[in-house]
Amino acid sequence: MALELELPPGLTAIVGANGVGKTNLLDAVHVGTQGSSLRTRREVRGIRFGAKAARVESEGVRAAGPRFRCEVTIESSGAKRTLLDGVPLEGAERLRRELPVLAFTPDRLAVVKGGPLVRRTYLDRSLARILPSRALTPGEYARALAQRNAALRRVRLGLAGRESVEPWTATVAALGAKLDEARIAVASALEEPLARSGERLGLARLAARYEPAAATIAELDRRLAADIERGVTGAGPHLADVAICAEGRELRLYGSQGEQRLAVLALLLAEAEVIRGLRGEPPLLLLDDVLSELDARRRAALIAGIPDGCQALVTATTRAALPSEAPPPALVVDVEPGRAVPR
Amino acid sequence: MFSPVVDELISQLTRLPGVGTRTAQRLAFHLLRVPKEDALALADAIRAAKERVGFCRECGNLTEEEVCRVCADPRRDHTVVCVVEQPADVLSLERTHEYRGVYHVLGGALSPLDGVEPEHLRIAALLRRVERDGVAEVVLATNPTMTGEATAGFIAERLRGRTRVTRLASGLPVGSDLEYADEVTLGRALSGRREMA
Repeated sequence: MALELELPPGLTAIVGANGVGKTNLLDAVHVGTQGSSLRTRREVRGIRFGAKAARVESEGVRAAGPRFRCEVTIESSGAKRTLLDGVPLEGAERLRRELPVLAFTPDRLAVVKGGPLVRRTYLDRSLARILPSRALTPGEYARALAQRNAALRRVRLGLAGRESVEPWTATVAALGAKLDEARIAVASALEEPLARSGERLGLARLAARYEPAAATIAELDRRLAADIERGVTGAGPHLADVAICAEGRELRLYGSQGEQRLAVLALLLAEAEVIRGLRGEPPLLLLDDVLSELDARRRAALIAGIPDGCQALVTATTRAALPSEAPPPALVVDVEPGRAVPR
Repeated sequence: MFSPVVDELISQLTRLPGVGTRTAQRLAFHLLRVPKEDALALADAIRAAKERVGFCRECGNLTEEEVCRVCADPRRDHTVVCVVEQPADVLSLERTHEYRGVYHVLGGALSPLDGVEPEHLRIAALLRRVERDGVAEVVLATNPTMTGEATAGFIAERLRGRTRVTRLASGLPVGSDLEYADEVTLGRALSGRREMA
């Protein structure tokens, strides 16, 4: 079984009844350009029943540069192979830095609604896309923290002296400051575009505020006894949160479900604009199951808010769900069980 | 599973770094298949190395004498000590033919996750050596990894005010293309840039 689709620049609408495979198609594009599924961590589930492997090949143009060719193969053993222009990549994370793709699925509501961990993860993903040179900082900080926590526990168990925590306190403090700096850079790059995209979608003064949380060596030293007691580092950017507010109201606590959805979409549009501006490369947007939840005015605002030059794939159950005020899609793909027909 | 003797061989091989059960089995079967002399030559080499090779009293490098060749060489500058993680690092630095000082082999890098604490490395010996020999410079040449950096930081802190401490520069590999450099290396190379003379 194979499907070949040519997608034009601009907007492509993927139209079909519930359960025919619209999300599948969007997910295939995500796997093919990011190396990971939008829906599950277990990508082997994406393999057709009875088949040995699934493969997505994508070809396209990047802002400045020749055509790229990307190939992602997932085998039933769970092994994943990723080739970019014929060169094997060590991990799919590399692909995320190379090809910017932003996706919305109903699960993404958790970015506003969920706990601080979801927002930190989201911010760090944005960080990798917006500032690729600092993409490794969150992971480095996490490793340093794991070393310090291991040292704390070994001290508590009497396996090591207190001085063994010292080098990791210094490493955690230095990398924590670096992580804060990168997160602040991302938050401030998003600030104005976010206010604009929020306004467009009807959320006044939308803001994502990051409070720096890195602890200095002196602060970490002061809490050393408590940290040893608990076996974990009790201060730092691994505990920070991002406050997403409209008109000063924190949407996690005081936003309606609709407002929370709009905030997630506004974040996505803002990031698309930042990536386009900073990297000179408009990202690919994958928007699943979003039009049905918005009123006519906001549907039009969302489609009109897609930054120039971005290619976007949007799912809809009927053609009527496509906003009539916004420019029509460049292509409509009708999805039927097992088929996708471009019209 | 096979015979107690074979099982023992496999379990001994499994204790080697980087060797899992499958590899250990393959190695064991290989050793049983080759001529007796070949297999025993390996056993003899292990025995000879273990009996004759030890660690240099001064620097911790591998040696058959009490003091290694570098430490025993009067032409080497004993006031400059280069600190490395492993004996293999000494070989790499020696290949440059640039370095005329002596070495200090730590035997690893700090990593609480792997249970490696300061007292497991030859750090105290280094501090004593600096004090005793009036060392003028300590070159920290631990790996540019997180554990290597933390180890360098820990030692530097303890040597502060007692001697000059330097750290190997990190940057771009010679003869390579900027295009293929990873962002971290390139970032470090950028922050460590220097004036063109």
